[in-house]
Amino acid sequence: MKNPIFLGVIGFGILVAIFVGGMYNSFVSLSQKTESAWADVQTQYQRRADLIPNLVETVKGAANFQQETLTAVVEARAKATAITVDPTKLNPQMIAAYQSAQGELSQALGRLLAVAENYPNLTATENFRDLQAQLEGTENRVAVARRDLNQAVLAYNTAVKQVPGSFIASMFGFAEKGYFTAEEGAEAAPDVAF
Amino acid sequence: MLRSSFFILVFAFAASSAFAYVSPGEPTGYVNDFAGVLSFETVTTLNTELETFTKETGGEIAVAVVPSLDGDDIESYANTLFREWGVGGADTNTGILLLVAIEDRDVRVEVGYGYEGTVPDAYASRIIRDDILPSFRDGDYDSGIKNGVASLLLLIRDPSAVPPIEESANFSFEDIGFIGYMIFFVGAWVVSIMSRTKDWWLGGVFGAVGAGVVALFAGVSVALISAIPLIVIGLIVDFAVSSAYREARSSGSTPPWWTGGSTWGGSSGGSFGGFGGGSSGGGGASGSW
Repeated sequence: MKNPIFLGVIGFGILVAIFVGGMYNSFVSLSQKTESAWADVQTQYQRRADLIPNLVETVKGAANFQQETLTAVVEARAKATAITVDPTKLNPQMIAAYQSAQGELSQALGRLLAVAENYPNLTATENFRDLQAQLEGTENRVAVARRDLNQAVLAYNTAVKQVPGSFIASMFGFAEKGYFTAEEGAEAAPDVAF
Repeated sequence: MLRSSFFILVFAFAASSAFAYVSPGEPTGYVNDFAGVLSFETVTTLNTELETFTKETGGEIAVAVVPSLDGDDIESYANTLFREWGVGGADTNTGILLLVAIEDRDVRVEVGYGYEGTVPDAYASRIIRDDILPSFRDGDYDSGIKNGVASLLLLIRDPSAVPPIEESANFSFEDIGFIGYMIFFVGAWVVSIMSRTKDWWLGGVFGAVGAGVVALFAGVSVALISAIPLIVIGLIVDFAVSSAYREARSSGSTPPWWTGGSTWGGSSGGSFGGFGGGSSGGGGASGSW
């Protein structure tokens, strides 16, 4: 109590240290969350890729099934599985490249399922229905995983770009991360009934 | 002119409806009929059955019947509601939500992470197709939901599929209640220190430390804003409790309770304590009738 200025300086120093340390820790934990959310996204896309050989086999069994749609799916799958992203480098370019490869596969699969509707003897089988349910479930898991990733990235980017944090973030090299954007057709308007 | 404004209106509606989720409310039991289509008998029977199931296996099956999805699609609505209610244990995630939207004529079985192996999408889809939709098409929601729940229970109860969870694992603090107790005890402790010291500068230090704690949880910007009021409040509180404590001491009476002289506890109760805090990654299947 003899030297209030000295005490004040020490107190202020402790406060600054707590602030910087707290910020750094919050960046680390927010970054970890985006990495684990990314791992989920990749797992779900992989799960979809794993379903495709089975689907192709089942569809091939149907008499004279349109060959081009099958080939398109197989090729898109090969392209999509060739791209992997390092979870610590979730920059916008990597995410965009990954999304476009997976998007091509989504479109090829969509065409395949649409064409399959013309083969009632195929769509009536329990095997095909199960595969369809699995594919739909996986697409939905992908959607949930992507939404979770976007939320994690939003929280991280906000923390890293806001004013007091942005200085500390650039000091320790916390870079902005990328989002998944809405897919064509995914934002289609719902039926509006008046 | 009229046309274009009509399109703007439709566009605005479509854009906002992408995030149109509106919570139906808190769960009041395992079966929650927000649309009022189920009979009293169905609700009570299923509630008893599902409570027994939870006691046996630790898993939780929730049923929600809503009048409308308000423009949301059933998949994202089900996932949001599942996470909001926290169906299934927080660690095990063994929960299932059977969601029915009457006006949209959509039904979904949303499966938590912990049941994805037990209830694969293909099985969930079969249950919807074979057990639920036929009754729904006849407008018989009671039978459809009863059949669906019965099939889910049958699938999960296969003893080799789900290991039972010990009673002790179900015991947990209510998170909010626990944090509340922590704040209360730490607060009582801090106040009792402050009131026993003659000076009142310590309150300002506690205020600053409080701002540091805020920084850890809410971020630095919030903490910086709250630092000054926290320090001022700390000084005022310390001044108040110190003088009250001193006055009480000098007059020989017991210090008032708010100087940290005594503590008390609270209690909580209710017939349905809510779900366990489980989560789902979008597993399951949907159908329409």
